[in-house]
Amino acid sequence: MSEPRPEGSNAPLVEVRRLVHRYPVGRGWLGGPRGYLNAVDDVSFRVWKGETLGLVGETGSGKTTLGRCLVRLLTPASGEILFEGEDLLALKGEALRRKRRDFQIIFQDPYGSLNPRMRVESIVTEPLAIHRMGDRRQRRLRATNLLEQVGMEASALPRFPHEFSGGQRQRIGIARALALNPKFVICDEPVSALDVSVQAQIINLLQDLQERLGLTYLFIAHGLQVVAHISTRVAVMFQGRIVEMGCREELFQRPLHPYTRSLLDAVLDPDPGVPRPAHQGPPAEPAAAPSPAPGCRFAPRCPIAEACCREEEPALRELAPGHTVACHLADRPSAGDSKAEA
Amino acid sequence: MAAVLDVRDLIVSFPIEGRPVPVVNGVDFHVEEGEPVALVGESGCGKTMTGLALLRLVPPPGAITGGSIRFRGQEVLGMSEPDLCSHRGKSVAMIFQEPQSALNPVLTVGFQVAEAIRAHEKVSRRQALDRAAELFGRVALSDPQRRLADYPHQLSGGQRQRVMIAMALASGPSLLVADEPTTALDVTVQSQILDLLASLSESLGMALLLITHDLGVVAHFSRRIYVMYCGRIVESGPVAAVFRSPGHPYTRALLQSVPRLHDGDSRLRTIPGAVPPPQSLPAGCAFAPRCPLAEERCRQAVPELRPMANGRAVRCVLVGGGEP
Repeated sequence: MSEPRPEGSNAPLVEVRRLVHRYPVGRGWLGGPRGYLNAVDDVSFRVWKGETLGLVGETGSGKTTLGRCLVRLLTPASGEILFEGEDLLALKGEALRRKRRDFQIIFQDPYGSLNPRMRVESIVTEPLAIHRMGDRRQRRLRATNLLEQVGMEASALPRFPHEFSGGQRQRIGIARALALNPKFVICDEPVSALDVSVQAQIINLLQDLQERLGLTYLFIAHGLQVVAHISTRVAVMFQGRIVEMGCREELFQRPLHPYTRSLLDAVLDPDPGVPRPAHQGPPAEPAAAPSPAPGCRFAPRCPIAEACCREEEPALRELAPGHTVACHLADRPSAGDSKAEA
Repeated sequence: MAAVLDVRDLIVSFPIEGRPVPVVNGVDFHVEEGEPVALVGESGCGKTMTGLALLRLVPPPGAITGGSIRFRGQEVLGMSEPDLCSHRGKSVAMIFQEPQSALNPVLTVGFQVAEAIRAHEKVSRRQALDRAAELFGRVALSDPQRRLADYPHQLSGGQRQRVMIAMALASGPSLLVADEPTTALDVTVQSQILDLLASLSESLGMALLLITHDLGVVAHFSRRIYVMYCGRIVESGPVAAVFRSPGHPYTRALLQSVPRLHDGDSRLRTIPGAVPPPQSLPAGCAFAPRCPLAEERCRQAVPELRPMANGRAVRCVLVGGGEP
């Protein structure tokens, strides 16, 4: 796998600036929304060519919404998404459609994301048909080639999705995503619905394809182990914000945000000999309130929160090269090291 | 210690293409009083059907077609309907993966738990609600009295699972069957629910049968493990020993295919192919087509589950006697 590019060495493939996406909540007078929930709230980051940026967070943290904004399946309320320097949010119609060839998405549910009435050949070549690329014979050749790339045989072409196992269906989904030779692929929990033994096959396949085709990934998952395995860098999301971001090794060995630490503590290693850290802090029940209280969003669940955490929302700041964190207390020695000795 | 549950040669079949096909095919296992045991396998291996069979809840057209399930010596398969009603809940209770689909969305959770209490005991509505509040406290739901009036949609996934656990505890079961209790939950909530189950099991002396595909959960929350593949137990033994030196090639491959937090860029080991469907199992060992060590004799007959030293057993002809 490629090393993360030092900032400034070349232009990022994708740059997201102050992205906001909001969902209407409740229903007020005359049927209008009573308020808005900022599912993605002022998020900025860059993705470098050839890397895998892992995105972790719990249900409702906004990671899927963020992924869908990036491929313009959702239209953000504000912000910029620069793809090779061009603002995707400014594109419309034919220009957007042409640009879309460069970024594709793989979905979590290999059962729900393939049309049950379409044959594998039509599923895999539909992107080509939409973009009016090639004639029927060329498309069939391309379909065979795509299936081969994901480790399937051409005999699958005339069959329907229900004839395949979850892992095979995910391979079909990956073939479809690759049909237009994209540069950037968003993998939205691509292995969460699969069995352990099949999970490993798909992870290895994604890594092989990345190497062979020079792909860049945004890999969204709630399972830390998978993200730790596949990512070059990792971003941790909590209630719509990125709270920590850094290189994989740095982030998992020296987590700075208490939320990242709580995620790491919750990982159950498949080795009975690895001790589990004792749990701290109040139960992790997500807050349903659409408008968060002032201060840090994690403060109500944070084991080390202080008065300042409840007053002012911390901004992301760089505490080590390439390692940013949004926590007032992250640079206090007591905050970072107390867990290591416990 | 005495076995609270003893299952012998259990067979559960479903009609597929007009003939009964066993999805659980001669499963033997036992659970001792107060013991946390794990039943592990991938989807379709028959672990959920085994769990449902313990309560005789196998959904039609499936049916238990053979074997025996003894609870404290009493045969569950021969029970009359009234006996079965008291067996379910009072002896064995079960919780499921999706707490939202197990709860009635139009009734308050307090009512639903009270209903479970009144099904087994002659108490007034008021008393039942008081007991429900007490149970909510025991499963660490915040503000138990107020929670009684909540509807399922007002609770988070973790809170709903706590309600399900409270309901399961209502009649003081000796065995709790937990089928993927945390698969639908976030990682931080998952470990809290598992900690709760472990502490309840210990304080109440309640045995716990944890049905899961997650080897991390097994490693930290059970004492013994049964590994299932294609309807059969392929390996069993104490968790520490099985994880340290897995005997069956399937157990070994499964353990190696789990990504670990600090395994760096190393390539994941995979198991080639996929689990075969129950109606077209290969002759001989069901794992043979995917097994790196398979030999000719593996394809000839289904291997026996052979006992080894230290309470272990392995269903593989290539594993000798003694410690695997």
